[in-house]
Amino acid sequence: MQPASEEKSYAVGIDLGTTYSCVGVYKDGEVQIIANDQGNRTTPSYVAWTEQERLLGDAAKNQVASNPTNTVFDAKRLIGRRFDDPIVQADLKLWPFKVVSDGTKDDKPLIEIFYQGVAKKFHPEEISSMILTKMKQTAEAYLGHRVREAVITVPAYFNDAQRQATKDAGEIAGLRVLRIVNEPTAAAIAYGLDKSTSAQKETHILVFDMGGGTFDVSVLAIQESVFEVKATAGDPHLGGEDFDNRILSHCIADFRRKYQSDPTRNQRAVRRLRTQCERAKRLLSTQTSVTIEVDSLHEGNDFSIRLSRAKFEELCLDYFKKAMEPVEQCLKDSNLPQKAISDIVMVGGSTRIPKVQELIKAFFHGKELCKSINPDEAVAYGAAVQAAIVSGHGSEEVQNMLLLDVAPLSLGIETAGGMMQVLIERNSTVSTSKSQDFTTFEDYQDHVDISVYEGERAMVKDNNFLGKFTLKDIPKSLRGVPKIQVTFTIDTNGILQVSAEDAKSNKKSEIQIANEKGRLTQNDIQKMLQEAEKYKGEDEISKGDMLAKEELKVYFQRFDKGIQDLDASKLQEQDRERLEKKLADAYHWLEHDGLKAGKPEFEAKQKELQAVMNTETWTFAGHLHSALYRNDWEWRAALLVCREF
Amino acid sequence: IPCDPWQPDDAPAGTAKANYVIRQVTKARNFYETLGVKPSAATKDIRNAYRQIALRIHPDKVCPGGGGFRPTDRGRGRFQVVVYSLRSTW
Repeated sequence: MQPASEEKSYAVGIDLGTTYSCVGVYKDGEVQIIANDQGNRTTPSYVAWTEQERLLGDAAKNQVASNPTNTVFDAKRLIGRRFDDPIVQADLKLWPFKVVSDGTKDDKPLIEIFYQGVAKKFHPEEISSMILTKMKQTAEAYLGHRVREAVITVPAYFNDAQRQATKDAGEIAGLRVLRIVNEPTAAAIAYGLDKSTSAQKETHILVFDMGGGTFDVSVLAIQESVFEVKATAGDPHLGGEDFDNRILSHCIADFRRKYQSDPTRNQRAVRRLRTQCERAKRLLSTQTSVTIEVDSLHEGNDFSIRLSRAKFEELCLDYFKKAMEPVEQCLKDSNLPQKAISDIVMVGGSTRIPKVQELIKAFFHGKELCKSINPDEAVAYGAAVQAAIVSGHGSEEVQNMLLLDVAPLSLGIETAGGMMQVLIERNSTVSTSKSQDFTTFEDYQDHVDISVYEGERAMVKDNNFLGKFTLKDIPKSLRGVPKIQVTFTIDTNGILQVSAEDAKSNKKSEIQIANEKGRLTQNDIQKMLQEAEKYKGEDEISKGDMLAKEELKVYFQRFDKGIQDLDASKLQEQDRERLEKKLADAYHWLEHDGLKAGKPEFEAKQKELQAVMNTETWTFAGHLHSALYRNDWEWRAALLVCREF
Repeated sequence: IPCDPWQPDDAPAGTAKANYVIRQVTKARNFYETLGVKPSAATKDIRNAYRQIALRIHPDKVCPGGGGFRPTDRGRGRFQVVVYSLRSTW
């Protein structure tokens, strides 16, 4: 059944988060969460461009204060959205990096950064693909194998466009995306495997997943190894970042009051303050009050404010309360009484906030919350298991597992009067499909347009427009005669597929469907894939440049020291001067031309110096070296570097 | 309602359970028979039967590798029939 693979390959599970990402792999019968090169098990979803190179993850986040406009984060809040989306417009004001419209009718947002003096524009998919690449490399470093396949998670409440865009991001990162899995569902697997009571009895759990940027609630039924999602609800734009923003505004207001000056235009100040706000929010989960302090924040003024947990809760209370609505909705949709829920599983960093825990506990009349699974890693854990399930690589236990997920939003088409005719109801188990017959309303009409929407409102204008599908090349006949059966399928990724069939001729191929979902075309993806490959090369080149430069610097220092250490008897004054002049020239070159030089130039410079040294110092080379390198080991190492001696 | 109950474990020796389930679902005359339960079955048993069938013919189980069904696959759409049956017998 399994194709004979030429080399061992693993399918990984990636939790692509708004603020942090995490990668796991199912190996030797268990899930490993993989630490990155910094030793961290979660990696910031940050990409930055410095003058020399592109940085990913921790390296990018660490330098954000000094490089705010070229450090991109929150791509997940842009992905699959239009530029004119009110949510995008509101977020724009808070981001230090620039976001512009692509100017086409799809109105896609583009992130603009400056790299090596040139403005570059990236789709959110490309930014996400860079983060995915980083996660992929992390996994490859751990496994010692190439990683080509992945399961990527998305918030359960992500719509079709956001899912599709995430899948595209995976492809741009050079991954075959086996499946897009909903985050709370993945977390439920982690919970289910953890319990693994193998009870015959059906248990119901509620997963409350509040992360950095998105919020989901799912109710699942678990029986043996079958995980069935009963209902899902949520808010694709609610999470820790929103709380950070509230604290930030509070601090800025306080600063303004104290110093009568406005730091909001000072990107660096805002960024430094935001970092401290995020830190304060985390601390307030374990302590009752915290001091936010930033030295010389703006115009030389130091900033310091004491923030109590009570004040923090007051600032964010409306958000916390808003999070309870989906919980109620989800319970209602699942047709279960509150007491049928046997466990409430808390996932995502923001569920550490005491007030959030308190509110949900109160909602369930004081029921204890399940905190036995790691809120930061559960999603990646579940994704890794799902990767093993669908790739068929896992153990027996995993092979007997099954995930039945649902579509989060109703799907329908526009009918007369701008009404929405629902074809697939929300919370339908995927994959699911529905067929509908279409006909023509004019004689000899050869095409029919179908507008597809998703959402729960009665009028299409209140729902989210998914795209227009055009049935072309309809056989010419009188109106109402053609009968075209169109099948709408929501696949296991939660992504819509449309196919059409002429009911008369039963010929599929004759009717073409033009897809205008506003997504990237296969051409775009190919182009971006090539661009990403180029970047990968560039990253390596720039890494090589840096190494060569460092090597040259070390060479300078050693030589400088060597010349100084030699006394007059061994080195004549004029030779010394010439050598020093040469060295000074080389220093000058490094300081000026060296800024834009690459590896070949650095190496050439080193060779050139070595050649000079070679002719000049042949006679006293032995002395020089005995002074330079105290022991045999260093001497050998130096020989490798300076072979001319 | 005419109904002959069946379950995936009834598959005759030498026949893959998935193939047996697909055959049973295909020839079923009504929703109950699709799920292999008696019309008088309790909700709990219906759900149980549904899960047992899903474990055999869900696209993840029939086509490992994440490719899903190809248009030519025999079992294509059968899982949806099962889901639909479950909803209807609810």
